[in-house]
Amino acid sequence: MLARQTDRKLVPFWNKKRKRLLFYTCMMALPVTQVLIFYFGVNLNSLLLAFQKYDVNTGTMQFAFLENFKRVFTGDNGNATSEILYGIRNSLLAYFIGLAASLGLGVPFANAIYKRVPGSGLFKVILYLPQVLSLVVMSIIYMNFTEEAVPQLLNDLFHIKIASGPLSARQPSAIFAGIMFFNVFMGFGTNMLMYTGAMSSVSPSTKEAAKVDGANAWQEFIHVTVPSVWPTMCTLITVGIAGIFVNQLNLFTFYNTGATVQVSSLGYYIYKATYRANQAANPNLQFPYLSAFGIIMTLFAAPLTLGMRKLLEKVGPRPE
Amino acid sequence: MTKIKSWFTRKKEKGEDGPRERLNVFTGIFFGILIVMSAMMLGLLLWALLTSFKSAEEFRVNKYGFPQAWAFGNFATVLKKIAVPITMNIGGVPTKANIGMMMQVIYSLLYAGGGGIIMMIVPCIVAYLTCKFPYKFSKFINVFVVVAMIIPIVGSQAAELSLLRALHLYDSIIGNWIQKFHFLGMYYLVFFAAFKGVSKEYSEAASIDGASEFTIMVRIMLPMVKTVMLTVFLIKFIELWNDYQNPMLYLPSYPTVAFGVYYMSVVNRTNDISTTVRLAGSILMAVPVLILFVCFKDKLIGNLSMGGVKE
Repeated sequence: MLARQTDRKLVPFWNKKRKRLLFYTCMMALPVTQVLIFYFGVNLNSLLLAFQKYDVNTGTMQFAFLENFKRVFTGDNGNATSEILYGIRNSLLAYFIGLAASLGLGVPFANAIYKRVPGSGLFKVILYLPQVLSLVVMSIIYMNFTEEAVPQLLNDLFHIKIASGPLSARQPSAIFAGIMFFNVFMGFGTNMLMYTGAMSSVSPSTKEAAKVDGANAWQEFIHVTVPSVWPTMCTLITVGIAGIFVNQLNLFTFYNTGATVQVSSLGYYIYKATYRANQAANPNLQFPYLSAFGIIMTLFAAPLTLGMRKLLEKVGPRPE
Repeated sequence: MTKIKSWFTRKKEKGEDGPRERLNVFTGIFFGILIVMSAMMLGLLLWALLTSFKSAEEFRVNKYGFPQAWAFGNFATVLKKIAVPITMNIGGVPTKANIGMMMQVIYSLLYAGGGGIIMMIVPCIVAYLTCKFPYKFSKFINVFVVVAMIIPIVGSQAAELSLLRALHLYDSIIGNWIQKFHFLGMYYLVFFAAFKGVSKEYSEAASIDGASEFTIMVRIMLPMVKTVMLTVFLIKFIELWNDYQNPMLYLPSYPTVAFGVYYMSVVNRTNDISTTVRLAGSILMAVPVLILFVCFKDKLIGNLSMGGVKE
C-alpha cells in the first residue's frame, strides 16, 4: 500500500498522457464550438424559425405551428407557387441533362484524355479554365457574346437574321436552352478531370489482360474503364441528387432577381427569396417561411440522396 | 509527316501518367469533339479580350473582328464605374457611400486571403488531431464529417443570417472568418489521408528530444503536408476570390471585386456601361487568378481527383 502511494507521488500529475489530452482539448475547443454554433445551432434555429412568425404589432416572434409549411404549398399569391412548380420541373430537367452530359460525354472524353490523345494536357487546361476564371466572368462573356456577336456572325456567315438584344427578352424555352448549354459547357472540365483521376488508378495489367483476351476499344471501355470510374460516377450521381434542391443554374449570375419564372429552379428561388428578405427592412417577416421551405426541401433531399447511395452501392458494373 | 505520326502513336514516356495509345475510331471521335469544345472555349475568351480593347462606337459595327484602334480607356472606365453603393451605419445614422476598386481589392484580399487561410488551416489541424490522437472523440469527428457531407441540408441560409444578426457577426469581416472557422467538408478527409501517410517516428523522435506537442505539430507534422496545404489554400483562394453571392448576402458593406464586377455588369446594367467596358471589367477580375493558375497549374489540375488533392 505504501509502495503504491510512493509510486503515485513519483508520477507527476501533468504526465505525458495528460499533457497530450490537454493539448488535444485546447486545439479542438474552438473548431468544435464553431461547429456546435454554426452547424447544430443554425439547424436548430432553422427548425425553431419554421414554427414561428413575426408579429408586426408586438414586434416579437410568435409560435405559428404549421402556418409557414402551409404557405410553402399554397403560396401567398399564385406567383410563388407557380415559380416553385416551374422550379421543380426545371431542377429535375437540369439534373437529368447534366447527368446525361456527365456520363454520356464526360466519361468518353476523360477516356480520350487518359489515353493521352495529342494535346490532352492542353485540353485539360482549357476545359478547366471556367472553374478558375469564375462563373461571373464566364457568364458575362457568354451573355454578351450570345446577345451581340452570335446574331452578327449568323447573319454574316449564313444570312440568318436574329435580332440582337437581351437574352431575357427571348422565349423562356430559348432562355432555358441557352442556360443549360452554359451550365453543361462550364461544368464539363471538372467532371472530366475527376473521371481522368479515377481512370489513372486502373492497373495496367487489367488493361493488358483485356487486350490479350482480344477486347477492342469499345469493349475495353465498357468492361474495364467504366467499372473503374463507377465509384466516381456514383458520387457524382448522388451529389447531383442534393444538387436538384440547391442548383441555381447560374440564373442569379445572369439575371440577378429578374429571371422569368418559367426558367426558375428551386435553388434560384430560395436564394433569391433569401436575398430579398435579407435586404428588406425587417428580414424576420420572411425568414420563418424560408426556413420552413428549407426543411421541406431537406426532408425530400436527405432520403433521396441516402436512398440513391444505397441503390448505387448494390448495382453497378465490376471489372471483369 | 513522320513526326506527326510518331506524335500520335508514341509510347509512354517516363513520368507520364498514362499510356499513349494509337488513336482508334472510338477515341478519335471524342478527340475531334474535344478540339471543337476547346476551340469554342478559347474563341469565347479571345473574343472577350479583343472586345475589351474596342471602343463602344467600333463595337457597334465590328462585333467579332480585331480592334481597328486599341481602346485602353475601357479599363480606366471600369475603375470609375465599378463602384458599388452601400449604406453604412455610422453612429446609428444610415450613411450612403460608394466603394471603389481599391477598397474592393482590399476586401477581396481579406475575404479570399483570410478566408482561404482559415479554410485550409482549421481542417488541417483538426485532421492532424483526429489522425494522431486516437481518442474516441476523434473517431466520432471522423464519422460526423462523413455524415454531414452525405446528408444534404437545404435552405439554411435564412436561419444562418438570423443567427449571425443575433450574434452581431452579420456584415463583419471577422464574423465571416468565424463563419468559416470549421473543419466540415471534403478537405478534412484529404488532410486526414495525408497525415495517415506520415510516419509517427518523426514525432516520437522529437518527443524524446523534449519537444512539446505544439512544437511537434507546427514544426514537424504540418511541414510534412505543406504541398497539400498549399493546394487547398489555392483552391479556396480562387473559389473565394470568384465568389460574389456570399459577400452579397453576408457582407453587403464589404463589396469584393467579384461583387463589383457583378454589380456593374448585371445589377446595374444600364446603357451608359457599354459591352466593351463590361468585358474589360471581367478581364480585370480574371487577371489575378489567371496568374495564380499559370504559376500553380500542375498543382491545381494535376492534383484534382474526385475533388480531392494528392500529395
